[in-house]
Amino acid sequence: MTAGRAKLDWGRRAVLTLPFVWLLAFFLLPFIIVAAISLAESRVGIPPYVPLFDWTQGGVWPASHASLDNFVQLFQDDLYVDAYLHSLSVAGISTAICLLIGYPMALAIARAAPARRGPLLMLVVLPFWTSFLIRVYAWMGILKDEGLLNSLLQGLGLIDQPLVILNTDLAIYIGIVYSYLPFMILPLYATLERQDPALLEAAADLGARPWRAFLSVTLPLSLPGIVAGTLVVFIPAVGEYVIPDLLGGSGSNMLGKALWDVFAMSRDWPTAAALAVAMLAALVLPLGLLNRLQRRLEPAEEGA
Amino acid sequence: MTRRPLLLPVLLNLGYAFLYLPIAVLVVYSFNASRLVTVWGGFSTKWYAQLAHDERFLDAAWLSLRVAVTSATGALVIGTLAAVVLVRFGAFRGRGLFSALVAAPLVMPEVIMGLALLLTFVALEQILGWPHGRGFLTLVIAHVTLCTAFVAVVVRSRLSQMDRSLEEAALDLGARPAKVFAVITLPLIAPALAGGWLLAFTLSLDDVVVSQFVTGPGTTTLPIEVFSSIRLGVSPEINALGSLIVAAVSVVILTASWLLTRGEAERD
Amino acid sequence: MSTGAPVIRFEGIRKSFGPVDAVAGVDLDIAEGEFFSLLGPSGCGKTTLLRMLAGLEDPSAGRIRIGGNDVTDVPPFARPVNMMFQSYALFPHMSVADNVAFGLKQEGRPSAEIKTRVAEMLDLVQLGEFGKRRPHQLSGGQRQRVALARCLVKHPRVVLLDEPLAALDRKLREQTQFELVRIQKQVGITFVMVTHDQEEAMAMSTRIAVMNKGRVLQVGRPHDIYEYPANRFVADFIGEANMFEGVAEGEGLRVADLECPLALEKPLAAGTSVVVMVRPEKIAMSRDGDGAGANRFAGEVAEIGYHGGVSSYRVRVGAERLVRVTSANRRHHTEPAVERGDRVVLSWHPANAVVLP
Repeated sequence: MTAGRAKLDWGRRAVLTLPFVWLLAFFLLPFIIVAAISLAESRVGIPPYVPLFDWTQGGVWPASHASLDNFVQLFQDDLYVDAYLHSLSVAGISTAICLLIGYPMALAIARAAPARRGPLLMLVVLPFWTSFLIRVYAWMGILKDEGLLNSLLQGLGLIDQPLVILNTDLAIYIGIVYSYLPFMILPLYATLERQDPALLEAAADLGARPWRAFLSVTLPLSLPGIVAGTLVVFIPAVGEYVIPDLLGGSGSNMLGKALWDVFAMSRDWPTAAALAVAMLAALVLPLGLLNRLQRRLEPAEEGA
Repeated sequence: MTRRPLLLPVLLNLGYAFLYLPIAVLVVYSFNASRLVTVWGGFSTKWYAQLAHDERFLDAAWLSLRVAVTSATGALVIGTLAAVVLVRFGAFRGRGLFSALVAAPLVMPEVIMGLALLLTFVALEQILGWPHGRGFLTLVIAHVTLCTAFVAVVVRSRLSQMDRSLEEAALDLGARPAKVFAVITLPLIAPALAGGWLLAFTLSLDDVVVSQFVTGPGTTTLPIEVFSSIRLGVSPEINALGSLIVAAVSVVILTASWLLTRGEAERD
Repeated sequence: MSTGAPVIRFEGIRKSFGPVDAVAGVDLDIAEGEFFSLLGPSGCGKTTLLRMLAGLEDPSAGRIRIGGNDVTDVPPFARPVNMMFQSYALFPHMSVADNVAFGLKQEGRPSAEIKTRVAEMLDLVQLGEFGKRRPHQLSGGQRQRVALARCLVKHPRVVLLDEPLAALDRKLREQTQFELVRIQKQVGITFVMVTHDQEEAMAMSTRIAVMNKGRVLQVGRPHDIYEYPANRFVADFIGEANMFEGVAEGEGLRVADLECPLALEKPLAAGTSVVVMVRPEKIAMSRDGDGAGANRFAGEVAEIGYHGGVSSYRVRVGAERLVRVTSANRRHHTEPAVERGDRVVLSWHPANAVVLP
């Protein structure tokens, strides 16, 4: 090994160190700490939990017993069990609506003339760049009882009484679909755009009608995009906090909101941590699937 | 395929209507003289004037800008290095963990990340005495962690599209690896770097959930301020603020995409 | 060809990617001033060998010498070789002149010298006017010449070409073959080229190494490789070949599906199994004459391919065997001498056949 080569390896290590250490310290370590604190005992004080280890005595000493009490509490409390199930169902329904709206859009963009695809896609992504909060806020103005939608419908004489949409699950669905639609469309578009148009021509040539060709060629080939888009919407939607809070009102009981309330109002950090761990447990499978999907796409970029 | 189906374009346009109507409503009503959303009280710019004199919003906006510039820059450095590792380093021990760590913040629910980071800051302060309290520094650390993944995605896709032999050619012509990176790689991925920075900047400027967890008293970012005032009720000032954001974003994005398409044309 | 010390020497070079040996032990000398080709099917290891020469891959075992110096551990930026990449790898964000100047700038040459050398080089490849353009404003052939100029400007000991003509269309490819050879003679630098195209390799090279599965199967002048292939793979890969597998018997060779034995130029020890290879153009085909005697076989024309200058025939001899024959279409206006279904007699002189182990 000459100096040049040795330096190269040193350089590689240096390049790797900063991102790796950062992510270990501020992404992986935090999850370990959450897991640890979810086993700790709550108390009134600063910090509002009994540390599992005592660092002040010059060394690591177990200071209190870890226990699953927080989790037992969660499962015995209907409020949390309900929030858990409700979050999964809201996220699931919203994701399904997202897919139903996003797929035709992605397909339409992928089938557009190549020069128009970029701008069309840009139009999908553009709202994402403007403030998320303010877009959700705009929906509040539209959906509330005396809001734009109701006054429009009443003005047209379609309804007599205002429809109650704000502060219902429907408003949450609308908010989540609206906010996450670009994340559904992007991976769908990526797989649809890659499809060779000759495949459809071949299917047509072999006698398949357009709808049949879609079902037996386009749809199955876009499955990776469907899975990726679904996961990318579903996972963060489970923990969504702002949308249920603003559109779902005080009655909406979802995990993200429950976590924040326990953390900020009750200052019960161990229970908040237990909630986070419980939420992660529901997401382990989708997260693992997403990771595998991404890794399957990886070898293409390394090159031989 | 001579017969173009009509259904798809119609659905596409409905989708765009869904995406843009709320924004249009927001902008229109920001010029409404009436306080009520449903009533049109004539054209007025008074909400903009009121916003311009609202110290709370101005202070929060200034803080958010500083946090966003710092975080985006930090995320750009770390995210770019992460992308280089993922695209160029081939197999190494810990690659699986590394790639999962890079990608996970993309989808991780923000409440989990926020809580986890806060608990970490508290624990670190107990053990190391750092970071002292919560505020600007903890916000930046949290935002860098959040945004790194997005920068990595953008830079990674550009890097993997780049013809590897360009770098090999430079090496072959006598440039040392560091020089190759500076003279060949960086200029060629510059559009992605700009895009990644902008994305990180926007995300940081927009983040409310993680910020709410990791910020301290007296350090209120713009989204936190907006969030608390929305929770108190609809305010036309927010319409004006939203419209300003929409205008600023449109200008920046259109310029950026114009630059990017120019770069693409040059690349091939 | 010079006979002095080789400018390039591979000693026991191996390269494994995981369990796969891309290069499985290569020993090879290349002399100063040669236009040397590495020829083989895709995946035979030729490109890997070239990249190891450039320093872009590290050999798993063995040494590489350039001009007598061991360069095995020398990084690519310090080796006296320059490579022309298959994609040309022109830097898209630099002008043509800056691309050509890049290597000289890395050497820290004074700018006046860089300017003159770049101009000279662009003139050599007939792109004197194009210095200010960007690569994407050039045609494929022009880009190829920029890539060549960028390699040559540093006066390397060796220029490496990775499928230099693959991206060009057919007409331009032939023209460029001669152009490359002309420039190589003019600058007097050793060229090592990787190609999968045997005609290209034969037309351009002083010597060729035929590779398969990570090994060099034969090294020689194009003529030697075509006329005297050392083994079945080379015989089959270069040009077209009729192979007769048989066992020596008496003066000739007994082939299972032929009635008469093949005549051999030199008798072999009885019982030796060999293959006799005959090139299609070495076989004479006539409509008259009888089908008896050594090396005369009656058959029926099964297929005819008309290529303009030549025609190729597949003649069914016996039940199974199709023998390939090519013959030049020398005369204008005459009706085709042979048609499908005609009975013909094939024959060749034993000296025109090659005995392969």
